[in-house]
Amino acid sequence: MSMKIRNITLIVLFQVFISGICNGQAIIKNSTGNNAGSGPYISGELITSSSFQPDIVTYFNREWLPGDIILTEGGILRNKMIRYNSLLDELFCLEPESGRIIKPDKEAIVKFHFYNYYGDTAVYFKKLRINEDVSTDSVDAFVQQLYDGKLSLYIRRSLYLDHKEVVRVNNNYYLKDIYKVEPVFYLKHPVKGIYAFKALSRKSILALLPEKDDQIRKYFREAPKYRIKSEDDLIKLMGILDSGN
Amino acid sequence: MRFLILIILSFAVMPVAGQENYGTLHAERVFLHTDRNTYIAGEYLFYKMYLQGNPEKTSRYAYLLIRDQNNSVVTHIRMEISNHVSFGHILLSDTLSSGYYQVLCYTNLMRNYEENIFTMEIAIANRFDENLIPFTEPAGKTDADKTEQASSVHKSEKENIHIKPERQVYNSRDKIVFSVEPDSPLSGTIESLSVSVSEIIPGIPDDPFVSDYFDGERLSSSKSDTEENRLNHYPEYNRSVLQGKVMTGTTSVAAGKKGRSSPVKTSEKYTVLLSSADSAANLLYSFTDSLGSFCFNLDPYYEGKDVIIKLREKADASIIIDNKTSISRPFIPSLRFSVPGIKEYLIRCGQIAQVHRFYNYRITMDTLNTFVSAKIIPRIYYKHYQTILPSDFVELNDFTEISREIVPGFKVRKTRDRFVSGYSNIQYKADPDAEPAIFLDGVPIDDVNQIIHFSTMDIKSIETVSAIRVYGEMTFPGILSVISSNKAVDNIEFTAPAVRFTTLSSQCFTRPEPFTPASLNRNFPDLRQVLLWEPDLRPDNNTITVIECFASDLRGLYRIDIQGITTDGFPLHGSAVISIRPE
Repeated sequence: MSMKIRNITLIVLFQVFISGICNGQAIIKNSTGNNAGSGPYISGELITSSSFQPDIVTYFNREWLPGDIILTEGGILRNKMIRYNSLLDELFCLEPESGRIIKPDKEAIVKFHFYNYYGDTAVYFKKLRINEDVSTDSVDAFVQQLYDGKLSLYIRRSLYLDHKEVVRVNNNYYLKDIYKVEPVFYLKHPVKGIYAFKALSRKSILALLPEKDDQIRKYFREAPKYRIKSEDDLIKLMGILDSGN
Repeated sequence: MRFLILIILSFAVMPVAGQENYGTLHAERVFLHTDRNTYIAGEYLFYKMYLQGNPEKTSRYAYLLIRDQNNSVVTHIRMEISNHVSFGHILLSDTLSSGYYQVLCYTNLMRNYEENIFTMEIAIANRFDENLIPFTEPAGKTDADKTEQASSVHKSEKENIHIKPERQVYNSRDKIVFSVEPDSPLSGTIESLSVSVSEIIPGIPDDPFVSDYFDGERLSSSKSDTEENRLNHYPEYNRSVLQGKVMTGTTSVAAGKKGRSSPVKTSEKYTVLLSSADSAANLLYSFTDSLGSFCFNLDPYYEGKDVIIKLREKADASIIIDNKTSISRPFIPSLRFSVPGIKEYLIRCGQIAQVHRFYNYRITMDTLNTFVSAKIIPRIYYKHYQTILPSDFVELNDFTEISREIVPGFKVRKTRDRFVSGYSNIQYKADPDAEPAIFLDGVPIDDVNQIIHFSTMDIKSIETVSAIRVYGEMTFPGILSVISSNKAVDNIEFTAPAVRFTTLSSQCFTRPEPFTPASLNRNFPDLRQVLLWEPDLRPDNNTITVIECFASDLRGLYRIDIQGITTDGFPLHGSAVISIRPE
């Protein structure tokens, strides 16, 4: 019996030894292929501890979530831990191994999306050139894609500092920034370009798409309960208008 | 006995730890159909390449090279493969000396198994060479032997394309019409055919057929993961691969003195940087493995460009780039062209080429597809903090002055006998010994010492990025990009090991414009030896296709040679012989 145990122990030890050798060899042989320098690479700024860290409430997703980043050069950075800041309109990336936080260059990004945004798998952000104000130049901003078709609908969840509140924490008082969300919708028409609107009303939709007047009126007539109260209603309407093209 | 079985079983189930699954790698084969097999130096060689491999994942690029009897490469091109085929032309320099040449065609993956590389022998004669010494004619051959040897007019048994000429004999300048159809129903539709109608040289054995290479069946030999791990040359499925090795010890690679160099030791790992001179700082990087090898999957932006490959670290080493035209199997001519009358034939070909020049007869190229490199630069940064134009300022004599006077935040100071640089705003956030990455004309240089002598007259613009930057796995304590007035990077001598290398770009898909009688003056002689070269014929639904071309004034036998493949990779081949007699 003891002989048998000794034999088995020897075999196991021998296996461990051989597997160790095989392991090392495989790394040597594979490494050229694995280390092939091809990109795409993330290019951005390293956020150090002393750098500016935005308030957690200003993030679209307060936790780091996995997602893809599609780059201007055509490459895709897959399965990155990302977080979008609505106030700064910047995307942040976490390197889980090193704990480093990187702010990728906005110019390098075309779009990004989260694999699973609290149960929603279709949260896509796209960089769009928009004109926020008549007095300012157009800027590139990340907007959330609500509907994508011949007609596309985007939303920008702009944050602005509403007021400051005095908050007491551990017997200390400090001023807390209170932000307010002011969503702006962007409707991209294949010919007419991009429209921006803030209010979700039948009137505003009709004003933006006068050529779809019949379809819009029919939609509200046939389904009066379909009032545009939420983003989902708007997405539903976009689907109907887009299919009627 | 049981103990032995236990040991065997334990090996059988033992996982090979650390290996990554690449999936199965299929072997590839190529076949090259050329418009003919004898050329005069200065003429075009038209080709059509067929690739057989895994239908779902095949190489994107193939290489065609021509080498002489001394195994020196006389010309080479890269082909872009689309739907398993590629076609175009290659110019045979008019300085080539008469002799036997070998045409090789392969993908980078096939370089691992050189026996699979497609080879074909051609004869090239220089029209000023009257002796044609390399072409020896066997003594004592009679005309009867010559007739016996004329296998060129025989049909191959493997032919599965039926060619039916309207008639067998044509007068000069007649319209030649022939129909093409598959002999039996094919398993798939015809993907592409190439058609050549060219003069037959009596006595020369047949050129290879596509069926000889592809053998009627899909390649079943595949390489498993473990076999792939032994590959020296990586497949180019999506991007062009650039491989190389870092060798320790000072070696003059150009001089071929490899005696004192050796691959890097296991502990030495280097970062290899690749970039090209441009107005934007650009970079690809790779790491050497334990054998000192590195590999780049080249971004399309770098195709057809002069790139600089250097080590990030300073080391006593040299970089050797894998040469894709390097084939170890030597070319040993088979002397297949040593047939009676070959010299006479080649002299006649040379005279025809001379007449073509005299009458200014030129083949017009029809370009069907071009492959331009991508315009998107793999920038190392997109957002720069400041752009400085030195021409806006008074003249400053060196970079120490420039940094002090016109580059805010960028400091250059002298420590012992060398200059060091850094951004003052990030000096406490980054490694105190690390210096910012300095790019000159888009290429990373070793340090500020290489541009310290630059005056404002030498610099067009300076871009500063005064932040800790991340680029993939690399981190830089700031970036300074200098664009010189006179592309100074060309004259920079790197202290870290560096090589300059020109990458290949893909050849266009071209074909000669079909000859029409109207294109030739009626009083001029028509001495074409190739009556038709159609590299990409795609018949509709395997039906009968009618092809037309025109006879020239040269009497003799002409072979209609058709090669092709089906969508399933099945080889197609057919031939017929016609003759032209003078009116």
